[in-house]
Parts: sequence; C-alpha cells; structure tokens
Amino acid sequence: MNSMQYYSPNTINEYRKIYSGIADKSILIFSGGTDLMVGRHELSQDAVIIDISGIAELKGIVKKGDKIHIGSCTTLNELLCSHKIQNDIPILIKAIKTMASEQIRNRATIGGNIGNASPAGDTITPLVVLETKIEIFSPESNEVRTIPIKTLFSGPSATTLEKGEIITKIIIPLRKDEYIFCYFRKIGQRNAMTITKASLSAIAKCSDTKIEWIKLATGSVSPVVKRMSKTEEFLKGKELTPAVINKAKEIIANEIFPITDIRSTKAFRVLITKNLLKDCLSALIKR
Amino acid sequence: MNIDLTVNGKSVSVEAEPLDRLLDILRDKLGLTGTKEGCGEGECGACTVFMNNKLVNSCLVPAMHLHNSNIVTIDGMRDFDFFKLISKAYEENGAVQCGFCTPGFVMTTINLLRNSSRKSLGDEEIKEAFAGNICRCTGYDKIIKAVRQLLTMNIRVPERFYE
Ligand SMILES: Cc1cc2nc3c(=O)[nH]c(=O)nc-3n(C[C@H](O)[C@H](O)[C@H](O)COP(=O)(O)OP(=O)(O)OC[C@H]3O[C@@H](n4cnc5c(N)ncnc54)[C@H](O)[C@@H]3O)c2cc1C
Repeated sequence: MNSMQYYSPNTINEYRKIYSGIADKSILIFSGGTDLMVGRHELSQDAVIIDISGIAELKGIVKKGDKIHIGSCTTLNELLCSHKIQNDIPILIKAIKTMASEQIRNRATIGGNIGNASPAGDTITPLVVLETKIEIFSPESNEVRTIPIKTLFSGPSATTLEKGEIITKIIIPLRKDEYIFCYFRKIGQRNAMTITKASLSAIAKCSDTKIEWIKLATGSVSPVVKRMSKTEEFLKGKELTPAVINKAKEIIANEIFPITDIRSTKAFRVLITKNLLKDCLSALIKR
Repeated sequence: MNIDLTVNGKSVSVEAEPLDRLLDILRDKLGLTGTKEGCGEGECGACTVFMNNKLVNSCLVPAMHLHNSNIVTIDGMRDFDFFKLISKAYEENGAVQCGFCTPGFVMTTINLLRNSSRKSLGDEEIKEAFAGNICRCTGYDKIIKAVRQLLTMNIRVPERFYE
C-alpha cells in the first residue's frame, strides 16, 4: 500500500483548519474503521484520510433536558454499557446487542454506522422510529445544522452530507413516559455476528386494548431504512384482532421495496418482514 | 509515519503506513506470530488482541490509531498464572483441534474471566461472548466446556495487563 496522507485533529476547530488546507482534494473521514478497514484495498490512494476518532468533543453521552446527545465517535460498547442508554433508550440496547461481536463493538462507532448509510445498519431503524436528529458540522461554513435522521440517507451507502461535512451528534428525544413498548428484531444467516436480511424496529403506546400510536421502521428491505407510515396509520386506534394483524401484514408488504442479492431473495424478505410485524404485534398483545 | 507503542509490556517504535494493520505490525515487524490471521475481515477473531485493555480484532486496527497505545497479544499472556490454568482446561477438555483459532479463543476467554469473576454465566451468555470467534474444526462444545470449567474456578485475572 502506498503512502497515504493523513491527519488526526484533536478538536473540531483543528478539523476545520486542516480541511481548509486540503479542500480541493478528496477526503476520507475515518472513525473506528470497522467498515473502512475491511475495504481498505479499494480506497482511493489519492484521498486524504482525516481520522476524527481523537476528537474529544465527538465522544460521550449526555442528557440535556428532554433529549439525549450522543457524540458520533462514541463506540457501540460504550453505548451498551451506558446507564443513561439502558434506562432511557432500551430499543437501542436491544439493537446493539445483536451487532457484531465484543471485538468489533469496542471499535465501531455510532457515527460510523450512520455514516456508512447501509440499509442494513442496525442502529438506524431504532434511531428512525425514535425520530432522532443528526447534528452535522460543515467546515466550509463553520456552522452546524440539524436534520431529521430519515433525510440523511439518499440511497444504499449514500448520504445527503456535503463534502467535508461530518456527523457530530446524534440527538434522541426522550419520551419514556409516553411509550411503554419497544421492539427490535433482525433476521440474518445466524443468531450472532450476522448481517441483517430484514429487520424491524417499533415503539408504541397503547390504551387498554387499543393501539394509540405505533412507529415502525424496516431495515434491509428498501434502498434506505424507512418508516412504515401506511402501516402505522392503519394500526392507529385499532384493537389487535387476528384480522387486523393480517391486514397490517399485507399493508407492510406493499410499503417495502426489497431486492434479491447475495444475502437473500426478494420473496423471502417480504415474507420475513410480514412475520416480523406479526411477531412485534403479538409481543404487544402479550405485554 | 513513526509510531511509539507498548507491546506486551515493552516500549517499541515502528515505521508504518497509516492504514497498515496492527496484525501485520505484530507478526511481520515484531515477530509475534502467536496472533493469527484467519479471515482478515473481523469475523473470525483469530487475530484478537487487547488494545488499551479492550478486546479488538488486530486486522481492523490501523497503524494510525496505535500512537501511545498498550497492546497485549497471546504471546504476552504466557507468563501469567491464569494462562497456565486456561491452557490446562483447554487441553483437558479437548478444546484444541487444529489450534489455529485457539489464540483468539484464549484471548476472549481471558476477557470473559476478567469481566465475570464471581458471576455465574449460562451457556447462552458464554456463546454470546464468543460471537466474534469462529472455530472451523467446529469444536465449540469442547471449548464451551473448558470455559464453563474455568468460570467455576474463581481465577484471578487483572483488570489491566502490563501497566
Ligand atoms: C465482522 C463485522 C461485523 C459487523 N456487524 C454489524 C452488524 O451486526 N450490524 C451493523 O449495522 N453493522 C455491522 N458491521 C459494520 C460496522 O461495524 C458498523 O457499521 C460500524 O458502526 C461502523 O463504525 P466505524 O466507526 O467502524 O466506521 P468507519 O469504518 O470508520 O466508517 C464507516 C463510514 O462512515 C463514515 N463516517 C464515519 N464517521 C463519520 C462521521 N462522524 N460523520 C460522517 N461520516 C462518518 C466513513 O467515512 C465511512 O464511510 C460489522 C462489521 C464487521 C467488520
């Protein structure tokens, strides 16, 4: 491997200064490297690597009012061990527990999982149902902007980030008292260390026997992680009878756009998404 | 670039490219060949080492992340008393077949013993802890038996190595 140019800023301000000096070159933002190192031979040798993993401002988990702010370079294991996340965002814990291994979770960051923009990114479906906001820093304007996570993705491995922009924070609204049910499940080749063929995240609030509201997002069955708004709308105010569940399964099947690839087939992905919804709604009844 | 780090308690200085892998630095530059390369993609765990006291895949750690880091490999574990007990339990339970994955399994075993001393773990929790280690001889039952035995022995593993 040829010599690649690289920088490791310690602050966001340092990042901005480095960027100004090389803005004409192609840039590779590097965090934990668990995605990038696997494909390191395909990386452009002309790209300048900027390793953001040493920027202290991008680390840590803090509660601010009714929101949790997570620094983008926080690792998956740091999230898993955080009492704040365990208490306030259990759906994220459920998702991270299914991700990779101890070895990978010690290195992989949440910002990297989002920045990688995979439709199979396992932190993304929970963050989408939680209506998470993403804070982005632009070295060109020296300003931050905040956008809803669902507008970050423009296709598989593609984001709406402009050149040089980095994800700085993941901002999750807390409405712990508002919902009492959360669900995450992914289906892969095996139980552990597996890439998602299809996944479903849900949060819901019920009153007596009826669903007051439910928020659903599917992974790996559309070009980007997607909210299932038609299914959500249909389930609103409904009692979960077998007929309602069957109808909801049909609606969700029409909301997803799966493909056949090396990991699974289109037909199987439709089938397991319907079954995941049934599993989720059954868990909601039993609750 | 020049990198200063500590490996198995010794300060070393190596010349490397930013994206060179820790695995290659260990094996080719430092001669520490106990650490193995299996898949090279973070799936199999044969290259598992401790970096700043955390379990990582050395095939996915780039040289540029190694400045002032503390690395402990399987070769650095041999002199600890707990290593002899692990080695004995693996032998007695037939947990080593071809042996290629063993260094990685032993590193994860050390991590498990360190984190779960005095805790009783079920087979499911043991299996989950080894999600990042693959054995192609598929001797998992025997490995889990060895680990279960070790967990009952109240073995003391330090929180930090070589510090
Ligand atoms: C063996 C193995 C198992 C895995 N299992 C899973 C799994 O179960 N589920 C899952 O979802 N993923 C899995 N992954 C993928 C990977 O570990 C995760 O996507 C991880 O969270 C990536 O984080 P990172 O810090 O390592 O990213 P990096 O490799 O550093 O970066 C990934 C991408 O994000 C960009 N990026 C990183 N940080 C930022 C930022 N702050 N702002 C903007 N862009 C940024 C980078 O430019 C790059 O394009 C697995 C990977 C391996 C090797």
